[in-house]
Amino acid sequence: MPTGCGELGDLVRTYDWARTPLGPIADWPQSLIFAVSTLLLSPVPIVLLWGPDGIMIYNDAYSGFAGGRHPQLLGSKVREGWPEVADFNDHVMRVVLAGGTLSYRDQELTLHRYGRPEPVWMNLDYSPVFDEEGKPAGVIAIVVESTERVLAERRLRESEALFRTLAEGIPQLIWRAGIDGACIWASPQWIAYTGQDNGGSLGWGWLEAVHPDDVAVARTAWQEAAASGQLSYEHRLRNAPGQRYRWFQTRAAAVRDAEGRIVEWLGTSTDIDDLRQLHERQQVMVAELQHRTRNLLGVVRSIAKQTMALTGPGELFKEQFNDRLSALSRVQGLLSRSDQEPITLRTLIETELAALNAPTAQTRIRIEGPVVRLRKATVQTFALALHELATNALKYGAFTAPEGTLSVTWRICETEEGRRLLMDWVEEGLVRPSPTQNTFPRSGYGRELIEQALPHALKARTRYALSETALECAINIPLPECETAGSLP
Amino acid sequence: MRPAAAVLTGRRVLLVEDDYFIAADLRTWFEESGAEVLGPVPSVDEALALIAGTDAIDAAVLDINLQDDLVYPVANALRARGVPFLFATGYDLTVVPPPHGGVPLCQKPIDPQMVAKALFG
Repeated sequence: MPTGCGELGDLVRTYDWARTPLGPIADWPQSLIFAVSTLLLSPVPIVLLWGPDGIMIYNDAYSGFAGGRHPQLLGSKVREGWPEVADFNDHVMRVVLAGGTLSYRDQELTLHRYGRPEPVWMNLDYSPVFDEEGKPAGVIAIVVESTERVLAERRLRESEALFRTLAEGIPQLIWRAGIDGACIWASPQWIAYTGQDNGGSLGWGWLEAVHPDDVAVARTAWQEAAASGQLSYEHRLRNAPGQRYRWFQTRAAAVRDAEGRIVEWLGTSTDIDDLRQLHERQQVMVAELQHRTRNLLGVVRSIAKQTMALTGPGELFKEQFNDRLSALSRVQGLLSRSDQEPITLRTLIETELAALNAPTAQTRIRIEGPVVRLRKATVQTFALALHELATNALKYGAFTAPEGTLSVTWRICETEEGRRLLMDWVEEGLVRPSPTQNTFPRSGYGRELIEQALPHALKARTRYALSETALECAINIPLPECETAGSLP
Repeated sequence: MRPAAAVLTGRRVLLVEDDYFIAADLRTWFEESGAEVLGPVPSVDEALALIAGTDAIDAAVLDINLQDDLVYPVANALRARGVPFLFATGYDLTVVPPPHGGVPLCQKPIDPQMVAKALFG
């Protein structure tokens, strides 16, 4: 038995082996002495399991592995010394004492080295030690714990998985680039979006996916990025599956070394195509709104002037002008909702009659015709003309006479000039105002709108015939395909 | 008589405007100022026909956005005849592409005094 060999050298030499099946050291066979000497001298954790019981003799390195089990473990039977892994060791003993060897890499076992279960990973190598007769008498076990490395690798894998989940799961295209903008790495989303596989995006390859008109913008942004430490620009990027370009916002953060120098860029490209389209639509809407407002001011000025020309200043002007402003206001309301709720001819007629509190009894009023959706551009003029007709019916026409009736009917006709809408506004049972009656006659404005405004703005052909007992107004306007709404009930 | 209107006396002015009310307003104002109004017409076709059938036109006011068209063919016909004209638009001047070099552009509602000044100085 060698001298020295650390703590375990002393313990082995002084241990009362006589109490064990091995007997005192003096009686040990040469093979056992040889094996113990070898392991005591080794810096690698080794334990010898001797005899069928596997009496344990180990070195300093192994005692570190054994933790709280040391020093009681020395001289104990392996199945009793490590009861929590008795089955595992039983298998080892049987295989190796039969002359076999066993080897495990990163074998996970739950050990109770410190009074509680803990998962431990080990590299285990078992080989037999032969006695003087050449029969396996013991097992040499080299036990190198790899828990720390296994856990470190596991953390690394988790961290990589997290990174991949992030990099591949977020809806942006992610990339890394060198200080000049040359691509080092592109995320799977980039590859899926641009179709640039097999490293096609690397270096300056990514510029091939950028719209040719935006390449200069991209180059300029990169030239300025180094100085400003920021990169942000918008550009179009070709979508390979969709065969079209979409707008992206590209932004990147500089990655710096300990001295603060930029070593690379970490960037994202975010699809902003929908946002841009929305923005453009909004700009168009704002421009249209402004257009409508300016035109409306012109219309109001015109109506004021024409009303004044017919009434002169005074109460009558106020009344008629206010009525017409209200009609204009109602039609603006219909127009502003027209995207959700298309404006039909019936809506226009009923809105005007309702606003004037016209009688609704079916014996006096009849409104009949197919669904006709009106173009926005025609609605305002049409509405104002209908307003004049309705006002006149209420104040001077059908609804002032006890037997008066109003019939508004329309139909769609296919003619040589294309589809046309034919509308008839007929008031009957009128009572001619007596010359002494102090009522203002039908204003000429309604007639003007029918005879002039509708032909001018709607390319209409109109007829306005007022007799002593009836008013017949016929309106015939072109009706482009889009104005008949087959889909409406 | 207002000074701006004085220059309009006897002038034959073409009005192209698809909105009846604005057209009627313009016509009244030009007529009150002593001008003779051609039109108003609401479309490119009618404007071109009117130009072709009229010997003397002194000036024109053109609404850029007619219902289905832009008024530019009318502008070209007038330029070919050397007739001065101006554009009127309800759009913000920043969103209207600059139409024809040097042609005055007025924002609606148009101020007749400015129209007279732009056309006849």
